Amino acid sequence: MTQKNDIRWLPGFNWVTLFFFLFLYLPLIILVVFSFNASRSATVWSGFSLEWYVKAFANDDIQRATKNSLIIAVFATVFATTMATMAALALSRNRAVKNKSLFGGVLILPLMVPEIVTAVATLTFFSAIGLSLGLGNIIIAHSVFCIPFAYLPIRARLDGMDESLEAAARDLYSNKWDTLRLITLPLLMPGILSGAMLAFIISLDDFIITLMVAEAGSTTLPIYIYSLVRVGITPEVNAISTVLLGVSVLIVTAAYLVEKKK
Amino acid sequence: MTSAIGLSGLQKTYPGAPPVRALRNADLAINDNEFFTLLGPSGCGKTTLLRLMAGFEVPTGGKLTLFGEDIAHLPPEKRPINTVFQHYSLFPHMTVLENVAFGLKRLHKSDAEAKQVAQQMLDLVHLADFGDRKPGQLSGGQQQRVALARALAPQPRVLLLDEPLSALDLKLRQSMRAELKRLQRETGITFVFVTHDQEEALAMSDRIAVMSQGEIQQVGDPATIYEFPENRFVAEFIGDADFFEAEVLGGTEYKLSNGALLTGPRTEAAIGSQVTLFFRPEKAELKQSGSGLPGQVSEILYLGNSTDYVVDLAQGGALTVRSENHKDGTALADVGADVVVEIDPAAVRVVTT
Amino acid sequence: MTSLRETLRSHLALIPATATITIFMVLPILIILVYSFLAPGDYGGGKPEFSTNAYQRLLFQRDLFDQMVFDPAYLKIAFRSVWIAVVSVVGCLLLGFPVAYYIACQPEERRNIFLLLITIPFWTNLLVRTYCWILVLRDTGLVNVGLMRMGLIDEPLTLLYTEGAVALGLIYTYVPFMVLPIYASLERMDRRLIEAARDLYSNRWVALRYVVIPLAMPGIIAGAILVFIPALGAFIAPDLLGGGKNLMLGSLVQLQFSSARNWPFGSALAMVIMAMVLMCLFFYARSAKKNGGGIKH
Repeated sequence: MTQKNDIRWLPGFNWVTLFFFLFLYLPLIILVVFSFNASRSATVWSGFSLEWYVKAFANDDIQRATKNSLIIAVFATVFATTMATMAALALSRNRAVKNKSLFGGVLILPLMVPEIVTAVATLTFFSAIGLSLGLGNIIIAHSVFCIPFAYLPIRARLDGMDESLEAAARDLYSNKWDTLRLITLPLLMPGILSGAMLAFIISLDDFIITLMVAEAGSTTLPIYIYSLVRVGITPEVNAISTVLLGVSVLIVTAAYLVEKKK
Repeated sequence: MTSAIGLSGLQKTYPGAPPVRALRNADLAINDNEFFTLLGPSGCGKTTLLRLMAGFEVPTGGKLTLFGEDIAHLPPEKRPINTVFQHYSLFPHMTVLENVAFGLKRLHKSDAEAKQVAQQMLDLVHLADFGDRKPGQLSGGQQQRVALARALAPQPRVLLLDEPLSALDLKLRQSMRAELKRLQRETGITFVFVTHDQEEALAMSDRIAVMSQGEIQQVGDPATIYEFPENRFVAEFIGDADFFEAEVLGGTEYKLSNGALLTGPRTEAAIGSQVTLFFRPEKAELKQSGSGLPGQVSEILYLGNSTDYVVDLAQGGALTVRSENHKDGTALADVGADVVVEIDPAAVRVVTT
Repeated sequence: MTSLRETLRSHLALIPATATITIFMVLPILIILVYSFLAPGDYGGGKPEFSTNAYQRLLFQRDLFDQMVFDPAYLKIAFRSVWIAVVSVVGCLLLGFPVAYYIACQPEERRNIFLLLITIPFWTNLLVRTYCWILVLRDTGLVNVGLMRMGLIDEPLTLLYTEGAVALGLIYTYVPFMVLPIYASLERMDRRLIEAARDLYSNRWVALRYVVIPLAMPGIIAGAILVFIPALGAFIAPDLLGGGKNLMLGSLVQLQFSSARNWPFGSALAMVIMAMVLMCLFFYARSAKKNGGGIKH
């Protein structure tokens, strides 16, 4: 783990890094361990049990909330990623576009506004125009703040891509659309995927904006979890979170290995 | 005969403050079936000119023709001109064969025909068995040859090569020179080659255009460019040269600025006017004694096949003489030795500055 | 000559994203700016009459005799928010910089694994992760039980529902936002620069101070902004770890729009947060200009 001969080596930094990862993973470890606890207690271990997993999967509210969360995340991801890809292509490749820094600024604006402000502003706006589409309201709100999360990795990938590849395609008799279809998009795909993945997590994880914008019946998983966490009863939450964590670790690791193989 | 590529008054100015005039009023005619080289230091406008020919840039003025037809405003995919890119720009997500077949497919050739021609092209560049590999699995030299095959496959009227050898190491670069000459001869396609390497340009080209600061300085075959440069930039950029400021004394006599007299070519310049003389260091001779410019050897640079002697002239100034070593490998003179530099009048040139 | 039509055509691909953000984000913020100058409605919302009451309430309170008297309660909350956010930024920097540097010095293979490890916790719901800190910090939590078993303390320490707990929660939440930009600026750094510094008689720490940190500055500033802005308006960590008495601006805004039903006052508070954010961004833009770069959009 250590290369003390490295000219860049600084003593102690390895221990800080170790501490950092312990700090980052401590809550996750507690979460996973106590999801298998036989008793309701989240501090005293009283034997291994899958009881909470059974209960969580049988819980109608959890099922409904999970379904809502997934519907919202899927739609918001598709909308945000599509719009972000178009915008990134225009800003990175179209020389006719003026005011690039202004447009770039607008695209990352949702990152610059604290969530709570976005939340109350969206609530006020929706109630002012009388928009009431159920999950639709939440999908709109999520699409907005997912745009920069999708945009940044796509743009970074585009900027890192050799523009002469597209010039080579044009040179070899491809028109603009063929070049986009055959060269740019296939090469951009890893960026689009990581942008979409990021947008998906951010949507799935969002709490405060959803809390403000959601109408009755549009409970998402974070809102349901919040209602449980506030009263401190969480074994089912631990179980469902562990499942989500397991699934996502699998996906992320698989994506990493696929990328590495290339 | 119409030229393969014709430029008249071609200009490219990039907006900015101040605007960048990358190419100013270029006039040039590149013949069919010619190995033509654009030579110059970086920033001289040679790459801009190449990109204008390829269609990646649109000129801000002037005419650009391909076999007499105006192509200045055609997009790149409408021009029967292909490019070998500096860093090859092979599509990393396609196999070598798919890369080579790419242009043919875009020209709506059938899959079978595209594949067949692509395979022929791979044969031509000696990579017949590499069709199924991805570009990332090839060495630099192999990628280079795939890039060539890909650009040649659609049988363009003109092939543009943008410093294609600059990323290769020395030995490979030398063997690729011969390979490129062979391909040009075998295909009969006009090659327009961009480089900043004068040795490469002299070795490969039928004709060379030397460029500097967005302007074409001189066009000619390699020997003419080397032997009879039209101005000081060309003389300095290609090969080595010793320069003297001199006053015309009439006939073939010149008075150098250090007071020494030198015999050179006949000139049309008026008696008493100032001119610049130069000669190639390998055309002067180092003697122990005799007529010529006396001086003292101040530095010796051993180059392997020859040696450069820097001579401080007795009357002021310094010049370099390049000389073969003795057959037994010993030097002509040591540092500090008193010598005479003899310059054949036929080797002296007068240039405008 | 570019006609209007051509301009429109080249900007076509930009329209969906920028229009969505403009309509559903910029416009709503302008609307709450208007709202903050309205009188509160009886059942939430606002009455359409101009009023600066919402802003006056930030500093003054009506007493029993209907007189406006200075009341620092909300000012205190604002100061506490800024203070906790600053502490979080400093904490993230002290923890995050060594980590970013350490990762940047690893071979590429290992760097990617470290980055993967940083992103995995993101995949677990933030509420749940924050809740786990309650289990660690409360009187019967891991820390107190552990310390008491070791005999270091007799009574549990008050860890939960303190400003410290909130700062800890915020550092925990946002430290990756500090590590990643610093890592990005260090990763591109030429190691030969450190070699040059060491060659010129600097020890490791002097090289860090005069070469590495100045070069990492754009990343450090970007990280500080990325932590400060969300920390200032944070809701989850203060709500779960701070308890009722350590209110921050975020929770206060949320209260006005839910149970308190005073939208104009909530809007005014949101505008206060926005003003602080704009100030940050202004300083950031200035420092980026000075450094001749910063984050590229």
